[in-house]
Amino acid sequence: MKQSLREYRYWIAGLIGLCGYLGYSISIGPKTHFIPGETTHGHHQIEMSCSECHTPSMGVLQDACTKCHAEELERVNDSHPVVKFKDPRNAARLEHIEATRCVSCHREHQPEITRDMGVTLPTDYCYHCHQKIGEQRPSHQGMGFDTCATAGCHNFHDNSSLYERFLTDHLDEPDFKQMALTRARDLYDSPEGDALVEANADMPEDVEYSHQILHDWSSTAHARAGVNCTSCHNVEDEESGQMLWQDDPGYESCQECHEHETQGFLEGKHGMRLALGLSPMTPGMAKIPMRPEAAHRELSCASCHEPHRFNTNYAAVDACLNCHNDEHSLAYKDSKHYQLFVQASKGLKQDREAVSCATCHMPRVERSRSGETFTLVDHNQNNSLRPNEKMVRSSCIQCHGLQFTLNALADEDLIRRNFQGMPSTFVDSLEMAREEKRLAEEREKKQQEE
Amino acid sequence: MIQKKADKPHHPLLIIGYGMESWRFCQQLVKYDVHKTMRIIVYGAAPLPAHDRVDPIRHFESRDGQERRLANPDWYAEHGIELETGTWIERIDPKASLAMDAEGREIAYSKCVLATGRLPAIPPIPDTEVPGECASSHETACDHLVALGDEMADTLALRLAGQQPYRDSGGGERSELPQEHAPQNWPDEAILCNCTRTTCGSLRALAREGCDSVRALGAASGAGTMCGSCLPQLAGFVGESAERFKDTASHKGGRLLLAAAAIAITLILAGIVLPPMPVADTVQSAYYRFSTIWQERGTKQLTGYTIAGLSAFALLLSARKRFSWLHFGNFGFWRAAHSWLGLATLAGVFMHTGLNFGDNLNRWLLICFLGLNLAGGLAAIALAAERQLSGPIGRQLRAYATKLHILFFLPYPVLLGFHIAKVYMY
Repeated sequence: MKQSLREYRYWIAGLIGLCGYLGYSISIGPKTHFIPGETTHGHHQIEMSCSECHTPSMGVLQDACTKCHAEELERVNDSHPVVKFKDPRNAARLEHIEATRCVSCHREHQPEITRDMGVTLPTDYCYHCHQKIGEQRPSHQGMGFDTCATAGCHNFHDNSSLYERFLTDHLDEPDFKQMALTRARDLYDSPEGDALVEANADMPEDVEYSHQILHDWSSTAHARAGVNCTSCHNVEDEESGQMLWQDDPGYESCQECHEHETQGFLEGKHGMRLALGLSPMTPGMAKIPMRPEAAHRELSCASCHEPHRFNTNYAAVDACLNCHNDEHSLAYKDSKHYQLFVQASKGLKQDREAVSCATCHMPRVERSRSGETFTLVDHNQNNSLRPNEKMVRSSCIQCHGLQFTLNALADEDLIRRNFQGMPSTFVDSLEMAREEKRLAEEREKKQQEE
Repeated sequence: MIQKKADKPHHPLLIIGYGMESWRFCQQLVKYDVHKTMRIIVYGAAPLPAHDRVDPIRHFESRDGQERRLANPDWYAEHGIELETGTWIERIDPKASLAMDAEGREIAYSKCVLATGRLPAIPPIPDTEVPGECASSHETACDHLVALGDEMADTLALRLAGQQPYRDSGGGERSELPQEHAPQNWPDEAILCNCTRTTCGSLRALAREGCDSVRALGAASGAGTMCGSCLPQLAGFVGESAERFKDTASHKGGRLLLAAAAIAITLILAGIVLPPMPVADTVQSAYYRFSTIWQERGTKQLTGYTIAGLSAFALLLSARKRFSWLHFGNFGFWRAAHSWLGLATLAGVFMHTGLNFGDNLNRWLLICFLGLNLAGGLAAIALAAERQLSGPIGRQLRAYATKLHILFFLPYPVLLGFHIAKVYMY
């Protein structure tokens, strides 16, 4: 025994070191070594905040998912809410698929089985409960269960632009609507405080500034709304609790007034790291193609919205293209959408006729609060992507017919070309809905005759 | 006779010693015609040729000392064997294959055989063990000598003749040793139990102190408690019958061991080369239900703990070496069982992972696990090869593979512990 100990002493010493290192890592250190597999596109930014999803010694609780995703599921009227599966009539279905828990279908760190939308089941999972759909709906006879969730037919959660009534309501729409206008923002449009001018600027004396900054501020919305320098630049010091001047204030300053926008930003891919107290997201961390020279840029409100000029035209296109470098983004400037954007920028068309990156990915949406409905920009791009039918209601059908929209969104090649040309796919759902509607009307007619 | 280093094969075979084993060895060399292809030089410090020392009295009874003389110088001359008597080898440089005699002559040799006995003197040679009254080539590892001079001389001559020497594989057909050459009469410093490095001297001392059974000897010194191959020899120290221990000392289950090793190595190589098990593309297939074995949390726990449990059982082989209450059954069967348990854990791991190595800690654990099993398989193959190959190569292969097996094993509990802790903490 003694001899063996002597023989392997260096190796044993190394192992004791390994024990210590792993012990440190698993308790207080970074948990990098314990990540069992690549994290999905949705969560990779926050993968080092283990406790955000993992409850110590309890695994991943349902709450871990719902605290970020519940609001959206409720807003889009989730087709398969947990409450549906808690109904005793559906108990038998749970034997096949434990649909009351998100992780039954969305398992993290399993890249080998992860499919679109982070689903970790084979694509024909609908089979478990809807085996008899062919009998119930003759129009569905012979269709494979792996086609249910393909573009333009069904989504497990968000069917807000695919349910039957919605389809029949949008039959026979023209591809290009005559009134092709996006929504107008109506929140924060009226200034609340007294308008300020350059002379009112209240920065401390020792602050260096250029006249360009002063001019930009005084000639834009902030000065008009009575928002002075210190309103944003004076930030509460964590230690002393005093309000101290900061040259580059963070999102917290913007949040004071732009609560909804900031919330969307923090929930979305650009701000989710900041929301958890991590370092800001940089394009270098992204999994989709980004411009190499932008790799180290840090994302905050000010990275897209120039701090004193608030040029939303810049924020809606150029700010995106400074970083995003994928095929779809690069093709944008050759598209019809961009032509509209340029014309609107020149004043040749209305602002609401322009189609920028933001029009689809950070669309102007209607939200309600305390009975009041208003239109604002949704800064959480997850709300309009994956699956892409999520953007049908918020943007596409403002200008296009539903049939044309679904066709285009199902045409991956067309998406890569940023919609240059016409869709080459045809989504049958509207025609099937029309047929169902006709049959229903016939049945009704018969009943009336009887 | 000063020889420069020429091409080595033509250098002579140098035999140091002119006693009865030297004579026996020369006789065997002549028997196998080695003297016809090789120049042989014998050095003897004493001027007298070999005589029978086992029964020296008769030497004095004879009138002229000729009767018990085993070989005379003429016999050596007749067979072209050079004899140098009255002088001795003072220094041997094994690395340069050079020996220097008392007169300052350098002899470059191709092989040097020490057949000096304990007297007149054993040359002080580094890296060489000289186990008493035995002959041995210094190029061969000398540990674990269980045969006496004659047998070794025969074996060595046979090997020099280029033939496969008879080799005992433990408890086999070795002829019984004459009582006076039995291990209990070996010199004090001779090692009897190689696993625990116990010498004959200490065993004799223990027997004198009152250890009256092999078990008592084992308890006191550890000798014979590990692989068990020396148990029959131990019996002699306490007057027990060697026969009783023959079965324990022999290593059975060789085929089982080899089969497990071959399957394990094939599986591991397949696991490394093959891609992970494919992902089921439909929930309607039997394969999908099968693939949930390595995907579902519940079944993963089942396979995981099965692997851990089987690993713990496999560890019993190591425990057997340390705890006497585990000393039942044949060691060979224990080893075969160990190998099959290893194979079972391998199958378990395939079910646990679906051949997906994972990332980070999971990957390290899997690499450690596969390395552990691969080294174990190689050790088993080397064990079989050792019996076939004989000699140092087989032994060394086995030693390296066993060491590798242990090196891979040591991190296994650490990584596995953190792997399990991680699963429950997160």
